[in-house]
Amino acid sequence: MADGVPTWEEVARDYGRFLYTVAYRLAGNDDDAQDLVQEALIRVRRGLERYEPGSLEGWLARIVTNVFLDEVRRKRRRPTSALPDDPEWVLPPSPAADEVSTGLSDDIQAALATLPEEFRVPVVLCDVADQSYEQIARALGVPVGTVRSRIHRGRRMLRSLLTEGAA
Amino acid sequence: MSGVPGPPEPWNEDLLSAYADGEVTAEQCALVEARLADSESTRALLAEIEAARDAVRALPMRDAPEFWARILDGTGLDATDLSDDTVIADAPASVVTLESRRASRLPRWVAVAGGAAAAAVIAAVVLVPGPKQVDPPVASFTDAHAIRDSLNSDAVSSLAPVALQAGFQR
Repeated sequence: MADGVPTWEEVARDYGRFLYTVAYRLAGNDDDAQDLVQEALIRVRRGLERYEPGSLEGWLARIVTNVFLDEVRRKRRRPTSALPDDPEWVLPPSPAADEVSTGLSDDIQAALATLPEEFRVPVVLCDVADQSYEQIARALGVPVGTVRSRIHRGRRMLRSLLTEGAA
Repeated sequence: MSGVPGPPEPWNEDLLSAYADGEVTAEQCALVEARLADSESTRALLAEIEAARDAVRALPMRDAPEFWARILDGTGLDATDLSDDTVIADAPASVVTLESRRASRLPRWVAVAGGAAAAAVIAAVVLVPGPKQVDPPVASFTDAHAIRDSLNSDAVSSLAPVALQAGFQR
């Protein structure tokens, strides 16, 4: 890592799990997370020349988030799709295939996936990517107060969903 | 006027999450703590918020997918998969773009076949007529009937049942 700027290989080697975890928590499933992280890797490679040494994880989280939000916008523009040839594409993967079932983790992930993106994204950036409110505000282009409000409302929704699920 | 403090920040429930995350100013911190001291429901809400936050934070890290190993060992490089030529010049490994992955999941023929089927359905609905309009050759029927009856029987008598059905009266 010269001058604090990592090489692409270093990013891929050292931050693979981080990138993939953030992508998975945003997307909610492995297939979409793989799509996100591959696109993110391409953007990382393009952007490394412009990367200014700082919080590398924050920078990576911002890239994954941007890819995710681009994808959300794309799906909103084109909400319908033709029938897929792969049933796994439609049916949510079973917990056994997706991850070693951890019960509570599955419930939390499921609840997280049901949050609207405007709440899920700041919650994931805060509690999964460990970003400060200021970093999240910069990443999303919104005021810190908005981040604070969305994180709070997102957590309240999560709590409600988890309580309902347990009842 | 400078140096005069503004009005105190009003209570806002959003501050609870910020407080739990250590994202409050000293003034906000004092505001939250005063509220917590006075309000049982606020304390309960803070506990709920912290539980939700801790649940997400406790989610396990995910292992990188299988393709990551190929990226790291530099095998399987397929530059044509990359969407940006400036990127692929010295790309270290195979990276499949979002679009190409989508394409691999959804073959082009599926979209084409789906489109053709939809077009066929639309064409069938638009172009095929509804209940067929029959235009019987009335003139030729009546001529034939008249000829037959004039040759074989009394035309008026053979038409009588029809006349009755039609409400004709003598």
